[in-house]
Amino acid sequence: MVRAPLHVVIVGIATPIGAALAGLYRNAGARVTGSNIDSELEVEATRLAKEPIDILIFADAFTAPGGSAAKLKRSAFEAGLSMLAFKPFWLANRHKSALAGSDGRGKLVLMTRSAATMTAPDPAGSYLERPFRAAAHALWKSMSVEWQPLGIDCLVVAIDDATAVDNALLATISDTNVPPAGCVLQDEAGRPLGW
Amino acid sequence: MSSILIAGASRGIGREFVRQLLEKGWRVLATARDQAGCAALAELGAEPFILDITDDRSIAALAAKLGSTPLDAVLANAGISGDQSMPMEAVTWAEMVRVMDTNTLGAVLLVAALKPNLLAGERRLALGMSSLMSSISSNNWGTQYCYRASKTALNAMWRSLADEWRVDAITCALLRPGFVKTDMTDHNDRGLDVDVSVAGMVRVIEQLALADTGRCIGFDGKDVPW
Repeated sequence: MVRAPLHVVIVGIATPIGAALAGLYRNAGARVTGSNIDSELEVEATRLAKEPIDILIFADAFTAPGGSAAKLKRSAFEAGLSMLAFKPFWLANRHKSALAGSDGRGKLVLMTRSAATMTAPDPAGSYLERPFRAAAHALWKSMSVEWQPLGIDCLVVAIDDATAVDNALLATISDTNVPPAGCVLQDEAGRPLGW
Repeated sequence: MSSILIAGASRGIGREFVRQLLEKGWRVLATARDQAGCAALAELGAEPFILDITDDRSIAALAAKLGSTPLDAVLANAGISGDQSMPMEAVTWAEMVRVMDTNTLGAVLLVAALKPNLLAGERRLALGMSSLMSSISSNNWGTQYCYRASKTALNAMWRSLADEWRVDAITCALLRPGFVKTDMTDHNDRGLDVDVSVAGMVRVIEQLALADTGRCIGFDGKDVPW
């Protein structure tokens, strides 16, 4: 299932999901490089893009408190927008060439939460996290359409905790070929979910 | 008489909403970013207010001016397209924040600030202006990254509002205007005439009920796929 030696980069390798993924890929013989979304972006982009990447995974552990809309402050939105949408999008773009340099189809994977979807929304009061996960879904869909002809499959996979990280997820990542119309939201077993 | 506050009413879709709702006998309070815009709205017959939806002090000042004025509906229509030709790899934090600030954050902060006015009204409609570009499942051509992300995030904000405000009997709905000939689309010939689009959305607004909360509804009355 996993062709060694794959080069797998995991942004958020210290998170429970990122660590679980790293362990599985290492066990399967892949070479795993870790990164952190809090790193200095330019420095990290330069470090990671020096060689071809077969699989680039974003596995954040960002959570934001709930609360009422009436108490929202504009400044409170920045963390979610940055951590969940802008930084992954920006870093992914810096690694387009490295992913296109994969021997097989490069895989760009965004790990998200099923509760971030429109069809299964979080409980009331989620303004600081879910909208920016949704924004990231939108950005990933655009990348999946535009990068598919370049040999890069952009996937969005909803994983709610590290216990769902298993070999089925690795198979989903390796076996999913994104069509020209772009990706769909999947669960760890590759089953489509609503956006 | 029903009443509505329309934010971002000085041109395009917002201005047409003002015109059509006044014709239908609504009391229309409308905002523009400057005095010239307000003067034009007053000429149409609306009650004009200055508002910069990216400025929290401006939103607070509007709420203070309105005081306890009951509103049946608030329509957060203000929006920008951002740099539509910006390549994906050139998107900056500044550009993403600029587009989100208006299209997403300003919209939710405005309706939140005016919640007491909605609670004092009868119909209690919190309306956001979405877009087909917000639909992830419909996107099979990419482009306009910040605009798409901002409108998808707006949809998610409104879904959260719908969940939170259901207990207050406030209907939180999103409207989709279609592809309309406005400044934002360079009056593209393939677009709908703005009066047709707005007439459709007015029909949607007239029929909205709490059962519709959380929906994104097109000018044609059809739901927009997420």
